[in-house]
Amino acid sequence: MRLKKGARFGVLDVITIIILLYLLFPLAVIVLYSFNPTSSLKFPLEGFTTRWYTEVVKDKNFIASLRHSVYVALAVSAISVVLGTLASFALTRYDFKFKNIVSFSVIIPITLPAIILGISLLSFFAAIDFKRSLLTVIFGHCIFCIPFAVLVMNSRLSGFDISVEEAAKDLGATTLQTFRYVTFPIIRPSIIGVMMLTFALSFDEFLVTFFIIGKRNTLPIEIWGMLRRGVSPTINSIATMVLFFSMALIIIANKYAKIRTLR
Amino acid sequence: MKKNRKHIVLLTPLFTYFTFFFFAPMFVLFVYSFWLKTSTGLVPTFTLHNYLYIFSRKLYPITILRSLRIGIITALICVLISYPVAFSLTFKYKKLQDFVLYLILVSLFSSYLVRVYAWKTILGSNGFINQILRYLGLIKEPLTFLLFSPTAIIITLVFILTPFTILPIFSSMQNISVDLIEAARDLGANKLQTFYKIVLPLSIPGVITGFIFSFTISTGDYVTPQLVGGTEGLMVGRIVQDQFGMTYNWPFGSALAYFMIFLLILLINVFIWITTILKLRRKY
Repeated sequence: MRLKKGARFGVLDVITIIILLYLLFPLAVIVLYSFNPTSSLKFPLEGFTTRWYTEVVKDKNFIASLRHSVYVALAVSAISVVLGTLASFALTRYDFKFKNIVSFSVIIPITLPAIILGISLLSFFAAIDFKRSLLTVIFGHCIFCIPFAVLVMNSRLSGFDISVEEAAKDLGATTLQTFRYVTFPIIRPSIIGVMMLTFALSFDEFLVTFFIIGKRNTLPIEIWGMLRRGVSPTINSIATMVLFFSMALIIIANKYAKIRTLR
Repeated sequence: MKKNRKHIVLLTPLFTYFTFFFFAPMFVLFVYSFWLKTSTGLVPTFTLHNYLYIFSRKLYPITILRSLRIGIITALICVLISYPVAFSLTFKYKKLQDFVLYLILVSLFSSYLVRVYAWKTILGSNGFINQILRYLGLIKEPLTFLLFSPTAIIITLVFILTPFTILPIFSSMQNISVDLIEAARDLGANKLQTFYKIVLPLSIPGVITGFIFSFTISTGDYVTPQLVGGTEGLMVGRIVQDQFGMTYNWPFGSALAYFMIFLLILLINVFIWITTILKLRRKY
């Protein structure tokens, strides 16, 4: 690793590298075992095969649950980005009474354990006699995706220079034109970033979904079923595919909006 | 900042949504916690029976205490190991910053279930560690104590939540200007003093955020204890889930959930209070 001028390689670097290895090593194990020809987890590996991948792709349950997950995640990211962006405009541009309470209540859902969100939604849907389905899953996912959308948009909008909008208006642009030609192009990267992030969050969610899912499974619910049934080598290949898929999403998301400034 | 009523229009969609799918459900759950479950079904009433029932059997307080203990230990380890990573990312690896952050984000966003499962395959009696030890000839029989214990839960939860704590700490360190540090050094502060008087107090908000996240998520987790905890690692999430899934005692499950929320808020405030007492945090 290249260090800043004058900085020596010391204890801090060793600690950092060990922690990063701890964070990445388990993922490497999963990827490694997904190419293992036998179903027993032997080390060293006894060969190389892509058999589990072809088996997964042929699995009808896997394909169906993947489709459901994508469908849910698309809806969730669309709803979250709209509601989150609107709220973020209010929180970053206007001063009003109880602003602190309002900003806090927007992020409460992500400070609660997911299981509590799950059971509260379950009780609610039972109380109003609403049938559980992928629709209830979408409603539930938005509850923890919207706060993240607001947080990421806030970090973008708080640094937004309002004078460019005022300039557009001075030059005769209507409110709609100003938004279309000035505001939107500036915040577009963050909007794309938020959509990717909320898609990834929804795509991976398990615990809330677990309580409010209907008959049709999402991918994490399907994986959970496989995990309960025991260690199967196909899980490793599913995991590897999911891993690279979320990696792609996150790299794109981070390219557009610096989601690392997430607080 | 403008002063008019536009913000209400902008906030209405979100709060309408939250009212329906967050505040109303939380309220329904709260109401349920005062109902009673009888052999014929749920009886709408107002009783504290469910809250008192938590203390009627040893199993519940013991499980709650275990969950809180695991949650606190996990959160403390997360914060402790995230801090040096965030620190070196901010002040040392300027050029590698983006790359290392990607690595952290990859870990954060790779499937949660898969990450728990990964530790099951690593710690299991036929798992990676045992295979390696056997391959190296260090052991003949597999070590069985690795999996199915509170320790296994903590190892897994720390692995899952560390990226979650690195990010807020890193982001609060972004606000520490290098000028401030240089000024302190110029005025004769040594490295330790600079750290204790400048870097630490300014990064404490990130530490608190990270602690809150990792503490609540780990205390209420369901998947990790189920997959790597075994019987010794029973946690409160499982008991809550049982009330909703198996025994259909929703009122008791709801009471348990609200009791947990109460304890979490209490302990988070204790943690914030401790950081203030230690003068790590400036009072605003």
